[in-house]
Amino acid sequence: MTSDLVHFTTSGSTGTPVVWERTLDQLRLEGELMAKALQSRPDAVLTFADPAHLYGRIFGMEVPRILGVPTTQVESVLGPVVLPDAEHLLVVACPSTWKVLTSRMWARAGARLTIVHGAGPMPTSVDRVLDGFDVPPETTEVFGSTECGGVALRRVQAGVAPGPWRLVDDVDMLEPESGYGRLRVASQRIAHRVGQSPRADFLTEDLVERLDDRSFRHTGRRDRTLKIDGRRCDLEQVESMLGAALGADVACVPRPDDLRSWTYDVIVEGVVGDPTWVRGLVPVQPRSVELRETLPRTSRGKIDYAELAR
Amino acid sequence: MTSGIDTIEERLRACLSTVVGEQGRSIARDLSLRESLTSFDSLAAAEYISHVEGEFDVEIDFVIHDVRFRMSTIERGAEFVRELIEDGEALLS
Repeated sequence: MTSDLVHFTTSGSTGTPVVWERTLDQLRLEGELMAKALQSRPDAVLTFADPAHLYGRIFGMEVPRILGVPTTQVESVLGPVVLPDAEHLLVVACPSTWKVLTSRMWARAGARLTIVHGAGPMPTSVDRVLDGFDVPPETTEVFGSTECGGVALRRVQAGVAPGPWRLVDDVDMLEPESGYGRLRVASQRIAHRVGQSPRADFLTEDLVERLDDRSFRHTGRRDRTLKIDGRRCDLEQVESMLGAALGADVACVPRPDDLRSWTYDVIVEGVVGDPTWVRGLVPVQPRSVELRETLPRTSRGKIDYAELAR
Repeated sequence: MTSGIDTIEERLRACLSTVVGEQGRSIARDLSLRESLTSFDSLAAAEYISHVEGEFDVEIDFVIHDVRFRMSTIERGAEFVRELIEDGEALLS
């Protein structure tokens, strides 16, 4: 493999961002694997994903290069969106892209669509959006990270419950060896931190149920880090920072969000006044800020997050 | 029944304040939301538009309706929503 390196940053809004290195060969390999995984061959790509992030780089640059097709980058979900002249178009989607996929523009253009989705969970509107097409687009969801690249894929169909994740061809699932546990994967495409040696495997923060050697079901995350607008936000750090600033107990409750993948609610105990000023203290805007006299507690006196999540 | 522009603007501000807090209620009607409001990026704008759809029971096409322009100020947004409401009423009559 060549030593030409490309950097990708896990852009944390809490804590120090981490820079990960990948070689050009790794990027080309990932592009080849993902191009192969597409069941059909589009003749143009329209990407809504930021090419500074790995997902956007792979599907917005590497895959089109391998397929020998042009790519058009959309800078904002608000547009402008100019459809390339193509009979079969690959749309590289993020959570917010699905607002644009409801547009009548697609029907007017008449192109066949293939959609790949990454950089966050599918929005709740997916079934409705796919049902709105005369011919439902072939839709694939990608599971991965800056550190590991694309790890697994699954097909998405309107009205059909999501199936298991299936590993990309060159990925091995080292852990869990059976049942439930943290996901550790091995492949030639694992990134390494700047200044550190290349690595062959990576232990993620994802919790999974191993179904067989090539598939798993995602059950949650070990840490309290959310990806909001593509930026990692450690809720524990936000709580600590706000708690120190306010001199009060603070709870941050994650909520799924159709546009940003995730968002969170901030609940502050024992502070009075207009809560909106708290927004100025946090690096990633929460969905809501609420002041309460008391936070629900468990029998051990800890904040009852399960109660808050209801 | 057609809603008055003032009422529509008031309701748009309520939608906007859901996303950006109290600054959404006080912004001048002709000022660019993108340039005047802190943290009002494209996703915040999309979120605002989603709230507007729910508030007025209208469907906004992000591409065909040129939302970047038509929802760029409170004033333009109110005019746009009024048109959508009237179009909907025309379909029903």
